Amino acid sequence: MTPLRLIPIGSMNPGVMEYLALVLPESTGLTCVRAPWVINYTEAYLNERGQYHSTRLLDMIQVQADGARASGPCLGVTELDLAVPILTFLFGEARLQGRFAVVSAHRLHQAFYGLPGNSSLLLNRVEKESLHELGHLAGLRHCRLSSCVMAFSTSVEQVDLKEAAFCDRCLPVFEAWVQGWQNRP
Amino acid sequence: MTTPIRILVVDDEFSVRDSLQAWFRDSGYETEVAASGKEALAKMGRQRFDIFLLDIKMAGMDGLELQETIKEHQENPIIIFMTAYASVDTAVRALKQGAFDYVTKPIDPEELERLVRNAAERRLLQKENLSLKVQLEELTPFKDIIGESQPIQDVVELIKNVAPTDTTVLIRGESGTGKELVARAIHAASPRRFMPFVTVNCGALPEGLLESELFGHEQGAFTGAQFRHKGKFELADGGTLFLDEIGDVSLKTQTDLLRVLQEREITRLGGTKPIKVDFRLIAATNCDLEARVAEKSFREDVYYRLNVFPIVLPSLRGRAGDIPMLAGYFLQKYARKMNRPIRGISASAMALLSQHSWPGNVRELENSIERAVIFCKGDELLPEHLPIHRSAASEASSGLPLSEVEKIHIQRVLAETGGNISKSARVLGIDRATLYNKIKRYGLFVRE
Repeated sequence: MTPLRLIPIGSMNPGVMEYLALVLPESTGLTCVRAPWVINYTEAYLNERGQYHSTRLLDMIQVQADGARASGPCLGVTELDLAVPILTFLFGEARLQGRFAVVSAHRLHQAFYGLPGNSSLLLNRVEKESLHELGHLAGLRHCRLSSCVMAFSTSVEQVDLKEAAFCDRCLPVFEAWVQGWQNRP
Repeated sequence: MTTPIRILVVDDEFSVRDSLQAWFRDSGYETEVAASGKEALAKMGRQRFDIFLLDIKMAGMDGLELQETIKEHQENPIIIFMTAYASVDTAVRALKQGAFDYVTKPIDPEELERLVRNAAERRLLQKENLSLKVQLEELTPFKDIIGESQPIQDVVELIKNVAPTDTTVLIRGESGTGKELVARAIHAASPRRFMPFVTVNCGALPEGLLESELFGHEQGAFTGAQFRHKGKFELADGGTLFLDEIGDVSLKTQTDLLRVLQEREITRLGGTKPIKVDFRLIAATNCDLEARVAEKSFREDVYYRLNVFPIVLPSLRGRAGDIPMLAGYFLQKYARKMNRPIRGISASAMALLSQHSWPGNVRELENSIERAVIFCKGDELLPEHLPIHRSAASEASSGLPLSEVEKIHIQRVLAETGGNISKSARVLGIDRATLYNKIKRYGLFVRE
């Protein structure tokens, strides 16, 4: 079985990585391993914006994966504030039907919006956004069902509205993708 | 299943095109990108887009120029501009020119999501509207044929019978009886209704031009043929071709026409390659075609090809009972158009309308009502508003020299329009300069 690799990018709360390593195998059916790759995220810094170019981070993960001859899916997890030049921010980015995705917890913290911290809510949100990006790797596009994890979210309120699960239409696609990795040596 | 919304992103920066394409694709929109206005137009030539996301500042053709060009190519395009904070003024100008909205770069994903969702909803509404209009048209193809008299009801019955077929129809009737209206009704009730309805007024064009108009021409086919030009036969492909005033066509063009009707293919002037065409032919004339055949100015074989299903339209005299209904219909049409609160036609005016012989048929009646609406200042059309009242009155001036009659008539019209030159010229059917010269010649008083 080819595992899902979790790659911390920059300084990460170890609790978040641990939580993902614990829940993602249950919710996806993939085994998870933490990859100790060093991603030189400063090269993705957008000077004028004070944010990090998420597409460049995906390229860096790919370079590391190629070097390590890792053939499975890879999910970067970071506290960095992600963006692309045309959009003000992103919760995450994935290559549709590709192998590389990245998710950011930066705007998933209650504290980002001036609210008291809530670690359970943060972990829930990170899990949902991680599943969402993995869904894109599986070839899924945004789902019109607001409760499906593939629903499109541009705010934490929308993230909170959805469940950490795929709807009946998205689930078979995701399961087929997982099975593909499970059947690989 | 609804057709997916198609978006075209035009920006000269690769990263913008790349990110937005991925973003829209993930959201389930079909997305194409173009790096310049030129590339955008080339893509538009290949497929239609529902929403355009344009960068304002681009090398070559900028966003505003592109907006204008898109509007020339597509009706009601939904255009969203992307702009830097510094060029918000330009974006506001774009809004005034009909853009849907604008976003500032970098774009807030939440705002972009909201904007595109709204734009997509607007597009779907536009499409729904259009399909409802088409449905309405389908339900009422005879709505413009007004009248309850037996002669006009017989015509409607003939249209209903012939419309679903591909049979050639020859419409005959005096000038102004509504031959084109009937041709359009046949097309609208036919299986070809979603394809073009192409009209050619054969009497209005000199022979050489008519040939080029009908058959098209290749570049350089004759002096002045700078571009390749598709003829009406080609334009009507799949639809209906309406040849009005067919009796005025020369013998040479009749021969060419016969060939097209037999072979169902044409060759452009200056061209060699025959092109297959599929159209339903409707012809119309107010000439006595049988007499023309007898005197050999109209080919007998063409006559028989055209006269497959003749429909003879009654003159307005022949269905005088429809005059009140027609007058009411035209009154409503022009009162609404000119925003006049006219409620109806007085009994004496209606009597005048019903007694008139209407040599110009329905067209003359329509023109008379339009003029009357211009003159009417109250809420009811009166006899004095009607031009036929004036012509009846002017019979009293018989015995006067023509110039005197003209002077009196112009003076009356000027008085009725309050000295308004444009309005008077329109009523008199002459241009303003001619009217001005006549005013000077006759020494008439005009309000300064």
